[in-house]
Amino acid sequence: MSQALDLQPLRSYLRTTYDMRMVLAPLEELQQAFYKQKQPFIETLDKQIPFPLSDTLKQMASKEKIDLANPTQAQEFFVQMQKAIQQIPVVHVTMSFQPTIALINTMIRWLSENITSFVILDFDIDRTLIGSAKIQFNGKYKDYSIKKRLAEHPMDVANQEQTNG
Amino acid sequence: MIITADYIIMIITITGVLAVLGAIAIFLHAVIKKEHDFQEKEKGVFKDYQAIIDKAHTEAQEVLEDTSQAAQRILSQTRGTNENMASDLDKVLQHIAQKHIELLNDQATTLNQTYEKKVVELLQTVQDQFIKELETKTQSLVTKATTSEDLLDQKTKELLANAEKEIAEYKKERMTKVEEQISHIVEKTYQDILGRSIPAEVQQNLIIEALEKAKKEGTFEL
Repeated sequence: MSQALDLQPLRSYLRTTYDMRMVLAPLEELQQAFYKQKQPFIETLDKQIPFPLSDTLKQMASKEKIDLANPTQAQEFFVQMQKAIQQIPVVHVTMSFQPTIALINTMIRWLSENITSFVILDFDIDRTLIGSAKIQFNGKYKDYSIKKRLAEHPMDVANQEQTNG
Repeated sequence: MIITADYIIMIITITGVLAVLGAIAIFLHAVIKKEHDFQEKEKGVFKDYQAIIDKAHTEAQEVLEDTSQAAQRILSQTRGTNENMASDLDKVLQHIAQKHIELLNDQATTLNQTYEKKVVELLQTVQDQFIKELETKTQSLVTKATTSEDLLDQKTKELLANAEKEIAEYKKERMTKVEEQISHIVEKTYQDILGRSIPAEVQQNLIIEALEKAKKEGTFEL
């Protein structure tokens, strides 16, 4: 098994912090089934973990040359995966409306193309921002909201919005 | 005649007894004689004592009589002396009283004169001090009045300056609040109208635009 686990196969499953919780829950279920019911990981994957995540996890194990029938190897693999997912950097975005799937996909695509590291999104809603967003990442904070621009240059924003409209 | 030992012993015993009896008789005689002499001597001594006591009694009687007479004499003399002494004392006391009265009168006169003089001096002093203090106070009041006028003028100017400053601050504060309120109204208007009027596509473009700006500004650098 490689030192740094490649999480790229999970990209479609891990776009937001909500997704992250939805992936971590099945991984926890695998651990619990093994420890409490002595159920082999492979059996849990087939019987309890929803498709296509179960299949993706099998493929990742295969790529990492992990024998899922081997409890020690499988357990170590899934623990490492849990830790790697929990350490994924988060881009916090505050905007004036609830994000759509389309917007999330667009943003993930943009992030994948423009940022080398694997990141996920976390959203906050603040309707007073009017438009655009506040972005916070790795301790850095930027406010690009129309509310802020309006406070700084009211006439410019009004003209720009009229042009956009 | 046969002299036996018993006979000899009997004779010796009888002789001894007789000797003892004789000795006792001599002793008793001596004792009785001595007692008799002692009684005789006692009688003599008693007689002497009696005589001495009688003599002493007689002499004491005489002394008592002499003493009584002397006491009578002294008593009569003393009564006379006492009468003289009372008279003399009365005279002395009268003299002392007269002297005392004269002295008191003199002192009273002197004291009265001194007192009157002192009162006059005191009154003069008080009057002088009062006039002096009055002059000083008057001068002080005149000075203070002048100073107060200056102070009042200065105080009025300070109050005026403070009032102007407070009015300016209040004006500035009110203007700031009005500006804040206008800004808030404008902001709310933009939120209500502009926020709703921005199409979803434009909103998404603004988000991506924000990401691009963040990238340019190095926000995503680890």
